Amino acid sequence: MEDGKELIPSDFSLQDIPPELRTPEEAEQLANEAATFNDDTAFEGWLRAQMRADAQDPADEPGPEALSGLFSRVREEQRAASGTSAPATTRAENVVGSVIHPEKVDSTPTSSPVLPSRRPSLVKTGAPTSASAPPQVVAMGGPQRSWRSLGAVAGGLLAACLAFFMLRQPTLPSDDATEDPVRTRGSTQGSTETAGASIDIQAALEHPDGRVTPFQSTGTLQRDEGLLFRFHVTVPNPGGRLLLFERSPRGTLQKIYEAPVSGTHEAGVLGRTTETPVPVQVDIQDATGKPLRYSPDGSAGLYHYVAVLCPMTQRSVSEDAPEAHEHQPNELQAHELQAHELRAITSALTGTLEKVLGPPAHGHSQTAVPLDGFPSSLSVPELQQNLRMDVFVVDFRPDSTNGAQQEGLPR
Amino acid sequence: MHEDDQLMLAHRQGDSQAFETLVNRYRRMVFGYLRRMLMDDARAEEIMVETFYRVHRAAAEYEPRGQFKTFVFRIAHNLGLNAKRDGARWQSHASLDEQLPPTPDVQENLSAMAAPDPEMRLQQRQSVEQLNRALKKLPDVQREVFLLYYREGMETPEIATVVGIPSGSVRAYLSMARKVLRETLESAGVR
Repeated sequence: MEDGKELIPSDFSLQDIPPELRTPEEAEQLANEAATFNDDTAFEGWLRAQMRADAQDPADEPGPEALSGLFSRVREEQRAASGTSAPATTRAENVVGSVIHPEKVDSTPTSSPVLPSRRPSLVKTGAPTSASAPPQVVAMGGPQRSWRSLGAVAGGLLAACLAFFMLRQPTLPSDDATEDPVRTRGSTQGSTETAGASIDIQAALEHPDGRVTPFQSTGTLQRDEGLLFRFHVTVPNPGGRLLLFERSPRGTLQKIYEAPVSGTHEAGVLGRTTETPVPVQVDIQDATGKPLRYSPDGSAGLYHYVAVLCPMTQRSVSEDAPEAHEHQPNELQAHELQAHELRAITSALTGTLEKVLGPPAHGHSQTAVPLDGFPSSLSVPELQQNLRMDVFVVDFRPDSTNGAQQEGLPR
Repeated sequence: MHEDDQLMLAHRQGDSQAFETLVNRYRRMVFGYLRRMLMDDARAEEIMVETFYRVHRAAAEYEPRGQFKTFVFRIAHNLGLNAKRDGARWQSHASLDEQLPPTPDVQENLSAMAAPDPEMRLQQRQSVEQLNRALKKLPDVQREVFLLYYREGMETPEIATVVGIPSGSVRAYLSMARKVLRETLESAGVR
C-alpha cells in the first residue's frame, strides 16, 4: 500500500476508465491503440501523439554553451548602446580580441616561430603561371602571445590540426590552360604532434555515366556533373578526424564532410546539388563558352575549400568540456566533434580565411556573432598558435593575374 | 499585451535579462525545428544562435502584435533555408563511406533500442523513429509545414507567415504530407 501499487489491479487497462472520466490524453491513447490507418481521425491522433512524444526528444536541447557567447554579445551591445563600458574581464572575446593585430599574409619569411617546439606554418602563396609549376612556399611565423582565455576554449579542442586551404578561382578559358588536375598534398615535419601526418586531396569530376576524371581548372562542368574531392590521409598513432569546409561567395562556411581517420584513410565527398535546375559548382563555362559562374544563391563562384585534420591523441581537456575527462582518446576520435568544438573551428576559420583570402565576393562573412568567447577572426599565425594548427594555402589558379582582377583577390 | 511582446519591449529598453528569458523560452523549439530541417545538429545550433542574434538586432523594429513566435520562426526558417541551399550540393561519396564502421554513437543508440526498456516506451520510441524516417522522405516544404503544424502547434495563417506561402497552400501541403506519410508508414508495416 505504501506506493499505491496494490490499489491498481494488474489487469487494469484504460478501457476500464469510463469514457466520461477519461482525460484527453487517455482518450487519444485509446483511440491510438484501437485504430488503424484506415481511419483518418485515428491517424490524426496517432500523428499528434508521435509528435508530442518527439517534442520531448532530449537531443532538441541545445548545449548550455551554445548561447553563452550570444548572451555576452547582446549584453555588450546593450552596454555600448547605453554608453556604459563593460568590465574588461566579462567577455572572453574582449580579452582575446584586444590583442589581435590585423596581420596580413606576408610573402616575406619571418624567422621567429611562435613556440620553440613548433615550426612555423607553411603558407604556399603566389599562383604559378601554370598549375604544374610548384607553388611558392613561404614560412610564416607569428608573434608570441598569451591567450589564456582562448586557450581555455580552444586549446583543449584541437590538439594539432593540419589545414589545407584549396582556392578555386573562376577563370575564363585560355589557350594555355593547364591540363593538370587540381591536386594538392602535404605533410607535417619537425617534432610536433602532427609530425608525419600527410594528406593528399584530389579534386575530380564525376560524369553522369559514373566516370571520374581529374578536375581541370579550365574545363567545362556540365550541370549534371559532380565535383568530387578524394582524400588520402595518413596520420601517425591513433588518428583523429578529417573535416572539409567550404566557404561560399557569400562568406558562409560550412562543414561538408567529416570522418574519423586512423592510419591510412581514403574517402571522398561529392558535391552535387539536389535541387533542379542543377548546375554544380559552375565557375567556368558552359558548352557555348559563356561563363556560368553559378552558385546556389546566385553568387559568383569563388569557393574556398579547407581540409582540417585533427588528431585527437593530444586532445586535452578544456574547462568548457569537462565531460571529456570521462573519455579516452580512442573513444573521442570515433565521435563526431561536439557542436561547440565545430563552432570553435568554424569561427576561427571564418575570420582566418577572410584575412588570408580577402573578404567574400558577396555580402559579409559570418563573423557577426562571436561564439563562446571565441574571437571571430584570427590571423594565420594566431590560428596556428592558438588552435595549434599547421596551415597551408595552395593556390591552383593557372592564371593568377586574371583571376585576381576578376575577384579582387589580394595578392 | 502578450508576455513575449513585453519581454521584447523590455529588451529594447536595455533589459538583457528579458532577452535571455525569451531565448530560453524558444531555444528548444527553434533548435528542434532547425535540426529536423537541416539534419545537421551542429549547423542547426549555429543557425539557432544566428536566429536569436537577428531577433536581438530587430528588436527596435519589432511590432508587438502578439506574434513573437511567428516572428522568430520566420527568421529561423529563412536562415535555415539559406543554410540548406548552401549544403544541398554536398553528399558523402557512398562507395567510399560505406566501408566505414558505424560510430559508437550509432551503436549506443542501437544498444539503447535493444535495452529492456518498458515495452510501451520502446514502442513509442520506435513509432517516433518510424515517423521521423517517413518525414525525411517528404519534400522540404511539406515537411516544414508539417512540423510547424504538428510539432510547434501553429495555426495555418501563422505557418503561412513563417514559410511565406498562402494559407491555402499550407492546407494543401498538410494534406499531401498526411497522405504520403500514411502510405509510407503503412507500406513499412507500421499499421
